[in-house]
Amino acid sequence: MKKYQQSPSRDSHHSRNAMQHSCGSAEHTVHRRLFLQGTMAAGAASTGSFSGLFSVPALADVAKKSGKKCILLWLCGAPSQFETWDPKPGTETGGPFPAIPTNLSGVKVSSLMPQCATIMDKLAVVRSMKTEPGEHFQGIDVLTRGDKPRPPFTRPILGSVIAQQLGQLDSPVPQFVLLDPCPEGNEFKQFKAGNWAGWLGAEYGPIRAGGNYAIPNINRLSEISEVDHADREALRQFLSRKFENDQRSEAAASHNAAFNRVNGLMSCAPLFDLNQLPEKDRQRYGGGAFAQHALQARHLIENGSTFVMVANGMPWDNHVFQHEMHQMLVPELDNVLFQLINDLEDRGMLQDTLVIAMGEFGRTPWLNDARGRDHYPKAWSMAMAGGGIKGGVVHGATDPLGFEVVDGQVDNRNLFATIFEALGIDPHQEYELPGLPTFHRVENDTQPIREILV
Amino acid sequence: MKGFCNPMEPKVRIGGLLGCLLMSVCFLHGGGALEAAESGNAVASTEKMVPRNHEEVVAQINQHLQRGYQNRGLEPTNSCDDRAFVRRVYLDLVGRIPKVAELEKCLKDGIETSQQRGRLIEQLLQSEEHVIHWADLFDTLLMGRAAEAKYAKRRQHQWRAFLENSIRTNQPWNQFIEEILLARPADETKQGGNWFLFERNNDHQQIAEAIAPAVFGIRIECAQCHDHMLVDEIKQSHYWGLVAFFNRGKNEDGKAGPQVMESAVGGFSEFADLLGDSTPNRLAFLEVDTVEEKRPGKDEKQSDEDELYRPGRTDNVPRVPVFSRREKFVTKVVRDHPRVARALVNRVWALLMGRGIVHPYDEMDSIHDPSHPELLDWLSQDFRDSGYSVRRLIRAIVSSDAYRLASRRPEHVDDPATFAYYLERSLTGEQLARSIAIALFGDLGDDEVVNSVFRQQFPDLLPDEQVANVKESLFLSNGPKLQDLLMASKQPTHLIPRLAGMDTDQERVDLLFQVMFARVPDAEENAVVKAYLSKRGGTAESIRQVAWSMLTSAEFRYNH
Amino acid sequence: MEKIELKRTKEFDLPSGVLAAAVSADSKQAVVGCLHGVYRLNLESGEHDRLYQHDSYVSSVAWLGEHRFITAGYDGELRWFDLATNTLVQRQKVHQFWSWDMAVSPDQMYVASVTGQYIAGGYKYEPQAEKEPSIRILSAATGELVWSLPHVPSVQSVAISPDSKWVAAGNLMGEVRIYNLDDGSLEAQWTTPDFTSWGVIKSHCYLGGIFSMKFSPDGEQLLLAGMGPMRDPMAGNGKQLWQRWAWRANEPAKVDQTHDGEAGEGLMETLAVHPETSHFLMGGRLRGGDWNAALFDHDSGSRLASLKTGYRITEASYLADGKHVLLAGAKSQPKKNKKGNFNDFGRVEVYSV
Repeated sequence: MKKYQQSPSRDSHHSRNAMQHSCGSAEHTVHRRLFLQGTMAAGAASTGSFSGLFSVPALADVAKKSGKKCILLWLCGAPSQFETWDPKPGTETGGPFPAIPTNLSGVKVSSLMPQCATIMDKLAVVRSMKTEPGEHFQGIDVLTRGDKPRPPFTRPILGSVIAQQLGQLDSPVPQFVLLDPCPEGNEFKQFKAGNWAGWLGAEYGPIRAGGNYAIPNINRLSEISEVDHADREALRQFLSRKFENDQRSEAAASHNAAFNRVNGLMSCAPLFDLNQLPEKDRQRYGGGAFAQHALQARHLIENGSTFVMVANGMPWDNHVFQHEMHQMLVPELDNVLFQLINDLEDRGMLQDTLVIAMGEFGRTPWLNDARGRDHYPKAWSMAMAGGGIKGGVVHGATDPLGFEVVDGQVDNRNLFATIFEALGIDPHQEYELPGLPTFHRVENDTQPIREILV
Repeated sequence: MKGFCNPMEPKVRIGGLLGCLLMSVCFLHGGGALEAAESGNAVASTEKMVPRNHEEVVAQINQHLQRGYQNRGLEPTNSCDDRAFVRRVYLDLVGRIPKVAELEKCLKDGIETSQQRGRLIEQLLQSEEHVIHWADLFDTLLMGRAAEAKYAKRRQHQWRAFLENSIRTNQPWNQFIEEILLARPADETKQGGNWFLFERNNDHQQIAEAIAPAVFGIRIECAQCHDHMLVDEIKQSHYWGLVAFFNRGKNEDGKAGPQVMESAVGGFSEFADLLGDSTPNRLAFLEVDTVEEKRPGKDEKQSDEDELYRPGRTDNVPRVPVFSRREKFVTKVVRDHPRVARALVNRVWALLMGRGIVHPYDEMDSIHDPSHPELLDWLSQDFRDSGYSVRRLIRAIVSSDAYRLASRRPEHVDDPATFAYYLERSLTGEQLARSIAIALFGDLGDDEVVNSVFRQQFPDLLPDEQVANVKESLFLSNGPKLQDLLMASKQPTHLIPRLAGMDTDQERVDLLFQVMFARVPDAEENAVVKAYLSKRGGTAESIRQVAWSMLTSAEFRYNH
Repeated sequence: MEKIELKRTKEFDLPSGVLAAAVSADSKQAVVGCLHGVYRLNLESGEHDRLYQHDSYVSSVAWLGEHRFITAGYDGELRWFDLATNTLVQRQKVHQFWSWDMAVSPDQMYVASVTGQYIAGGYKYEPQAEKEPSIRILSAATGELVWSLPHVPSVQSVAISPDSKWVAAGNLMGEVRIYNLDDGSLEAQWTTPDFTSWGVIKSHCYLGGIFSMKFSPDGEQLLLAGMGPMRDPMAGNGKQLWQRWAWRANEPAKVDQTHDGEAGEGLMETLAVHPETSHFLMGGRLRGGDWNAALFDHDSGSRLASLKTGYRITEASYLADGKHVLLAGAKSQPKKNKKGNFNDFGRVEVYSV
């Protein structure tokens, strides 16, 4: 006779309901997406000049916002701090790579980063990250959104926040781009299929490109004239917007936001073609996909994008073959950072462009059974340079073996406060969205890391 | 009365035909009238075996949701209007929008009373289109989206036919599941049933990772290298146990067509966790006793003796091990496992209501609480009692009050899990393709050709959140397929020529809104669209542009 | 049918994970290369002491006569040590990057060491061409450089034939090159893709490769060991794999490889060939299956015996009497106390007719 063992009974009502309590803002009748649309909402509300909707107006010379920009080198899988920014050579757990001096006296980095060692005066390194999640999906979630989830509300990804705050609404160039050629990636793949823009709305979600992720159907069919193409889209927009507003439909909002980007995308197709980049630059950055996309990120930023996130699956998650992988990955990252920072500086863009290099946590000081290091959120490192960041600073420290943070402990909230502050965005501002309970960009008034801010 | 009685259920005291009648909820053609099992004394079994009638199930759904509203201190929104209901129920039951003539007939016959709605629902449930649509859904849920080459193989190797037949006859869900997991077709007509395993091409881990959500409503991928880090009840031993039940299987494609053989030996190994500790892979799974099996000693070699097998049915069909792990899985794990009913109920609820009672629909574990736990428990028990009748469940859900709510989100409600308003969702690729065909051609036409492009372009089914992506809008704006369909609307009975042949723009606007949105335009819309057409002289090209803008609008794209 | 059993006769613990080990000719002691130093281990008493350290992990050790040995490390250095005088006789920086593997020729004339850092060379992360010669052949007596031979990084294993005439080097991509030690000419070259993975799931780059190589006693064939390909190298679940190649032919041909059903999953890091009887041992990590060390018949390739040791094996070598084999390796490095487990061996052969 088989028996069924019951799963432990769940406290069915309270835990979930508590989180679902609405903010009770019954007086807000305005649909919560409307306020974000700014001038674009005019078409939906007015019943006047229809004719104006049906032809493409000459693109107004919109004053370019002189806001800051950001490139996030997303080292998914979690790089080892021992083989990068916080080496512990000669210790039992330090690994086989020695440390090398840098152009900052008293500061050493792993021997795998010789080029960054020459530009440490431009980088800020944080060695005292201590965060909670030790599992990939949750770690990625917390380190790309800045805080833990609070369902059913989805906090927007860093790129979406920055695109919304600093992005140029009327720019044809997508303001938030994700360059990642890897279609798989377990937890990261699952994450990529989720809702990135969260409560900000789908128009602040990323365009994905890289590798085989070319943007398909980006060219108008020859059968349709440019005017017809624009006119029918205007009509579609009218009908859809009306539906969205009358129905208070979030799905429709998402749908319309997606359409809004079509024209812009069509005009910037060349930006997504790696072959359009100068050959010399491509060789300088290095052959691997990650390096090539980092170059492409620079190119996109130069041409009007606001936030580009560069990833390549989750290669850093080296539970197995730690040193065999890091020996290849770290030098690539080292070169990319070196080239990127120098290029931005040469172009006079460095003080307006923030470059971030990090993963979702760090790796264990000790080696496991399989030549690898496992996950370690208790003490890890990341680095930044550029816009709003003071170079030549190392913030925080770990103990001699790298087990604990002993000085300057900071977490994801401190980090995000720092990033926002560096970019000129108020970290503690509240999101004013109808139907949303109280959320701030950074919760609990957590302070930025002053030491690394300009 | 094949399919009406569940042969797996123990016999009821009343014998024969009468017993079957009382046991089943009636599936009489075209009828809403149902037999009530009022003579409770005759069906006095000690187990909760008495299947309730349809009205009772509907009432239970309504009551449970009502209690949910009360607990949360809110009111559900108003009911949707009749046209919206007709569009909705056509999309959900037969996978396409209603034709104008069908909509008019519904309105003429009346749709306000539950009997009238019941008749429409019954008519749709009994149709072949229902079979096709739900086969599309379950094919996606069980086999996943794939490249077109795979779809062709699914048809060629009778999987599609098997699935359709199961739906057409309302085969009990537990029976269907057992058949595809055992993968030993009883006869040639059931040949396609082994494709669920066969398509996975001996990738036993892939098989395990497919079975967990399809049958039990849980995901176990995270338990490959260590016990699940977040969900306590899912262990590494369950993952590898599930693999072990199937790792003696081997595909063969010979005279009898594709078969999934099973060896009587082998499949013993250990799995290591991240610390390096290794554990033998026993035949274990959640919430059942481990199936005992003799493991060979260290260095003991197993030899594949004939005595370990029973003879095959014919020369062509592979022999079956006396101790068959797959069979044990079916009889000792799957049979009567409570998660089986729950998973199916949750999934069908999600398909019809826009969201599972547990969300996401395939993560029914201890860290995902059901929004209405008693409702889920009740429906699952009722589903089992009914003999795992899927059609009965569908019928009940689409007859509930909540299914008929308006989709306009009320001001005071934010949380979709309340089911206080109807949850809009995007049409699947197939639904979209069929609906476009109905709109442009008045009929379905070459289904496969149209569907194959759209299901590749719009692969989502039951996504966690309704998020449109730019690729879709690029496809609709610049892709050749939609343009081809618009150009193909050129026969006299098709939409574009009909419109072109009309005398006034007003007539054109009226027909367009009927066909595309199943309604009349309001004053503003009327003016705008008319102006668009007049400015361009009512040419076929301008009509196509208007048709395009409506086909690609949110109102067409979503089930609402 | 011979029945072979592996029974442990001795076990020792060392403070740090073992990557290499070699037994003296008299089987009384062993030199052990650990992550953090070179140890001398008395095989009878179990006493060990650390003789010296490299600047990084010690990757290989090899005897040079009765009381001298050479060690190689991830610091790219070779060091010669004399036990009679207890002094470090010589040290030489041979590579800029690691010495992945090192071997001394049976006639004790040459020492070969291989290197190579895997650097991204193309969009799909093909390895970049070498920045320094991947193979260095030195005089074992003087340390003088004899040959610098080319290969493609990372070159992870090296072997010298029993007649001391040929040196073989295998790399990440499964490419094997065999050079003539007398004149440095390339004699054979082929690639087997079966040991290399391209990480489709998480890591779009190459992993794995050949981790150990040994010539057959007659020198005509070469054994390779590593791990079979995986879609997700981070799962570490490639097949425990060896291959045997007849390399002398014009077109080197694969003669045999691990038989179906005889192997589980896990990286294999070491091969040891019995000098007289025709079998060999392969050892490594148990990730799935039921063994991490197994004996195989050299001719038929069938598995004769298997062993589960509970730690990852990095080195295996036979003792001079041919009746015992030394297995060494590393456990996982837990929080505070790290242990490399030097486990023994003891092989008892039972022949039943």
